[in-house]
Amino acid sequence: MLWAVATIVFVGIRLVPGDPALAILGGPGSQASAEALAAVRAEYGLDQPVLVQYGAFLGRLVTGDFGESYVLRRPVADVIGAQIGATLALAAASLVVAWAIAIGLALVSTGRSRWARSIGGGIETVAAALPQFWLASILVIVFATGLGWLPAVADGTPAGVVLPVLTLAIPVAGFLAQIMRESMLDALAAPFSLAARSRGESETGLRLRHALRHAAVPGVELSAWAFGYLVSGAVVVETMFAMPGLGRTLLQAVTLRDVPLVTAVVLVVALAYLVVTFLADVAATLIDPRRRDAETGDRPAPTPRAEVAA
Amino acid sequence: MSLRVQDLAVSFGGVEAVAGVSFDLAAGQCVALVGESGSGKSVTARALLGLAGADARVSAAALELDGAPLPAAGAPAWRRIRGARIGLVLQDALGALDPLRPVGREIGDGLRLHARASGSERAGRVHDALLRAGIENPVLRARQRSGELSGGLRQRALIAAAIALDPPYLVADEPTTALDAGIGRQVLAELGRLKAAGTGILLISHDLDAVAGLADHVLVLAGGRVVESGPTTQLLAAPEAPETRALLAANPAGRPRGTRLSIEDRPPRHGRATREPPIEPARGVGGPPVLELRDVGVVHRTPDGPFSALDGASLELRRGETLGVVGASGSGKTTLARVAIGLDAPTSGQVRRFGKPGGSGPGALRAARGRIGLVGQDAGGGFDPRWSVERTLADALAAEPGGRRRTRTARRRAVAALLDAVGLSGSLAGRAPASLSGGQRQRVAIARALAAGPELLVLDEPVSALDLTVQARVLDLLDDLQRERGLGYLLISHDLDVVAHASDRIAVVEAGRIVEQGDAARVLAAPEHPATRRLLGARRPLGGAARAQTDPVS
Amino acid sequence: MTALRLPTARETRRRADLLSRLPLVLAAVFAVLLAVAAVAPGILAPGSPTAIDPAQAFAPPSTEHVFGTDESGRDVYTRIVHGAGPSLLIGVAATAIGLGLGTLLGLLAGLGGRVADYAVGRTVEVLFALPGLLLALLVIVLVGPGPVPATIAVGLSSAPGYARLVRGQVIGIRATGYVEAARVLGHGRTRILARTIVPNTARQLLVLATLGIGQAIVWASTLSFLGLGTEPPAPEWGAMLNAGRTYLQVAWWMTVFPGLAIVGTILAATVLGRALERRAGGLR
Repeated sequence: MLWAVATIVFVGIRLVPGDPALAILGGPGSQASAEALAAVRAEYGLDQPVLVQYGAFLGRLVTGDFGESYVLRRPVADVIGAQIGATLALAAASLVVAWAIAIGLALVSTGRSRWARSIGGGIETVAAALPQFWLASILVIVFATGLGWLPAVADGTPAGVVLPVLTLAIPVAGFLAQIMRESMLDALAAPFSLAARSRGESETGLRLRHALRHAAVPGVELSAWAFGYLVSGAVVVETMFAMPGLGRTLLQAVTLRDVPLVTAVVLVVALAYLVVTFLADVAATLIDPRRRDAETGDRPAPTPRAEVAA
Repeated sequence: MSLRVQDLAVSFGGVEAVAGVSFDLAAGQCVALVGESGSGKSVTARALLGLAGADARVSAAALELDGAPLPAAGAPAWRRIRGARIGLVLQDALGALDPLRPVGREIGDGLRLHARASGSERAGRVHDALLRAGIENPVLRARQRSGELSGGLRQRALIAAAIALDPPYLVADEPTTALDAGIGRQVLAELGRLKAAGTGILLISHDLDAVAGLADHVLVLAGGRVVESGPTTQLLAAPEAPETRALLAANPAGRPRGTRLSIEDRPPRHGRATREPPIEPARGVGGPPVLELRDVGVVHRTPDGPFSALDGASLELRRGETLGVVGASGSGKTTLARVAIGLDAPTSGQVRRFGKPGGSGPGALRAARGRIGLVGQDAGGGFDPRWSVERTLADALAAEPGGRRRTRTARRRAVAALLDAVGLSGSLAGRAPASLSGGQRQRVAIARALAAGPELLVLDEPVSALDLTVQARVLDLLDDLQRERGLGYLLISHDLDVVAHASDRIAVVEAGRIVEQGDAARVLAAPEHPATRRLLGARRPLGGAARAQTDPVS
Repeated sequence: MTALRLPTARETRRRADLLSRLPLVLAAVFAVLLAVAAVAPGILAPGSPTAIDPAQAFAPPSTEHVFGTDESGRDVYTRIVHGAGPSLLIGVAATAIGLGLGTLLGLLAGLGGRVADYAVGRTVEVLFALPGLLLALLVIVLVGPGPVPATIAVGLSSAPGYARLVRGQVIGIRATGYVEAARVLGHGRTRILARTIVPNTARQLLVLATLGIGQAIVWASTLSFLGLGTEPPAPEWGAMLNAGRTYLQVAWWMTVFPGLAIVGTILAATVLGRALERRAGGLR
């Protein structure tokens, strides 16, 4: 799987119009000499046949050697190692907050009065529609510039991470709440809910003991997707709030066309995504053992439909 | 002491779902509400537990439990009654037990809510309830989730959940419908034991025969009204309401081939409104076989290794003849049908259609184009949702040799003729399939299969999704069509009664093998294989004996 | 039971009419305004989106400049209206690329037999391991920044999602009773494909496309915001937000209003898409 990602990345790089050696030396504007280009080609093995390059590329990956950043002139592995912790922590914190908001929203709005349902549904839809970069700006305008409660940049204090986490968590909470509410509604309309009511179960008990459990399964499955969304969002949020992390590093690397660094970040994120998907699968199976028996091979994890383009 | 219902009416948004229901359910008695879907029986049952729904308006002259009126809709007092004083046994359609919770927890919920029993005490009482519902090994079962139990065990677990608190009254809503006949009989016997022990049971069913053995008093519902009520024996002996008679006549059990099951006035079919039912010689009967299977085997590759769906199946079918294939779900019936048509390829053996070797896949289907028709079980997915009835049938007509060259008027006329042949009004031509009733959809499916003038119809569970009286009408229609057109039928069903009624010959399938095959009368009278005997033995629900003396058509 | 449910549903619908129709009406009005702004922005905002008036720089919202002005005194309202065209164009083009490619792959996987299904399935799965924005960034680093690469990047990165959904649709439809019935009737592959499978899939694709355009606009504007797509002073919403970011502390209107335009567009697309979905009889 990771091998496939690596291959696609490699093929992608080879398909780039333009000379990688030129890119290393600063792009077409640098007017690099022919000797300099040749030297760079030799240094990075670009003068070898493509298959040899591919083999070397894979070989280095297996040993954890992602090469050296064109721009920073440091081993890529070091750069990533220094940054990844902050980003993972940010994503994890945001996921937890998103779950808390989503469960609250789903419990309050599901199957209650028509107004509660409409307002709850409206909040979810709007939350899910908020672009992260704009949400971040609005939060800064309101809570930092306007009210002055929280710092506008991540200054290293606990208060500094509140806005970044909220920025990431709110849209994800919208998606989570939507999908959880849908399954809660299904669960509340299912025959087993009628059976539970016929035993004297209260509406609140029904939600806590039955519906929430059913809503948790798609919620957990969606969390794997949400993790990818959060890491993507880290690019925006870390830039906006001037936080150290993989996202900001990636954006700089993209801007400077630092191919080895971008390649490595993409591979690392893909690896993390696979791990998270696996964990989500295990967690979902713990909640719903039927999944173990079902043919899970071809069944894709759910993605919010509005998010197909993401 | 009784559950007294006087003139109960339930309406939804001003539309009356059921009205005028009255009965008195005493301890140790059983009252049955019988009717088809939409008759209002389930709404009545739910109203007795205050669970008719938020939109429902329930009114009654009297609705009393042991002399005290039942609470108003939505009142918290209901929660003290549900489970503790009136229990509900729901139909197990794979969903009345929460699939994510252990069965024991589901059963223990009532104890937790009403008896405030401690954990260990609760476990003991859960096990006791499971035992009383006829489940062996209760400790294991309590730990399992519904997905790990068989249908019969699930239904018993639902009974256990309802009786955990020993409620004096039990409402059982179609407790046997989703079960094989044999297991359904055991479940009814379980309810019978509860009744003998003093529980008052309100039994809801669509099957008058099934309730006959248990119920002391029967109410027949149709269209939300009680059309007839009375003591069971009396009602069965002399049914008066046409709805009751139709229900009784519709049961195919014990009704020989050729007898009509539907007695009501259906839209008269063109030119044959006054046709007499006796058996006429069918056209084009006999002759060489239209379908032959020789030693056909189908092996599916699965992650757990090869799975033999069909093994050494041989059969023959001629025109004008019905071969009934019966077996439990998963026995290989449908695989047999698919191989016969050519939708699936046999792994071994040979399939011959119309005397020629037939393969499978598009080529084989094209070769037999127009000569074989398929009628499947209607699960709503049998028709392109975008197409009107007319377009569906026109598309099928195009499969007839030369069918595509029809002019528009000729096509329209052909569609009208097809609708007429299956007893549908031509005014349905413009309708979308979703707007048709189940019976109408199944008739359209038959019309589609007939469009290209086939000689052989494969009927895969053609009536299993239909109400009993609708089933009766469809079976009669198939019988008429066979006689008029000399069609050969390969009839696949899990329901031995349907197969016994409609077949000339019967093949019994078990675990992918045809274990017995022969003349219908012989197989039914003198079964040779244990599987056949099991099917036959399970066939009669408790009411069978009572019913045998009171055949309504005699 | 159906006989019972119908009146209930009708009753419910009547009562909920106003409440449930309101979003749809708002979305439709917004969509019409957007279309006008995209085709003929001059009707809604006669001024020039790039007209500079340094004397009026950073003017807060007033009757003269309803949404205020930016650092060069350009009218923010005029720029938003004139930005609708480029922003929508990027969104529509990206969706078209993604949907086109995704449909092609999905049909190939759904109809092409085992090998094609496996190959496409695995490729899509691999691409799915890369969150959308990351895939887009990868494309940008390979192709370079700019509005056209950004559009392609967003389109390409949305293709796997569409491919997966189309494949599911096709496989679902292929397994239905009516396709089986058509096969038994002896209809050929192409006839079944053209008459049954493709039309039924297309219905759902329309829904997907509507829902997808909103997201494509967000991702495209995100790239612009990060300085990798359209660049200021072109009146594109993401680019406007990128410019506004510098002046967040002094001129909130430069950020709030273009963002509202984006959010409004996604919401309108979502509401309209869901309405279409209900009419199409539900997406599986």
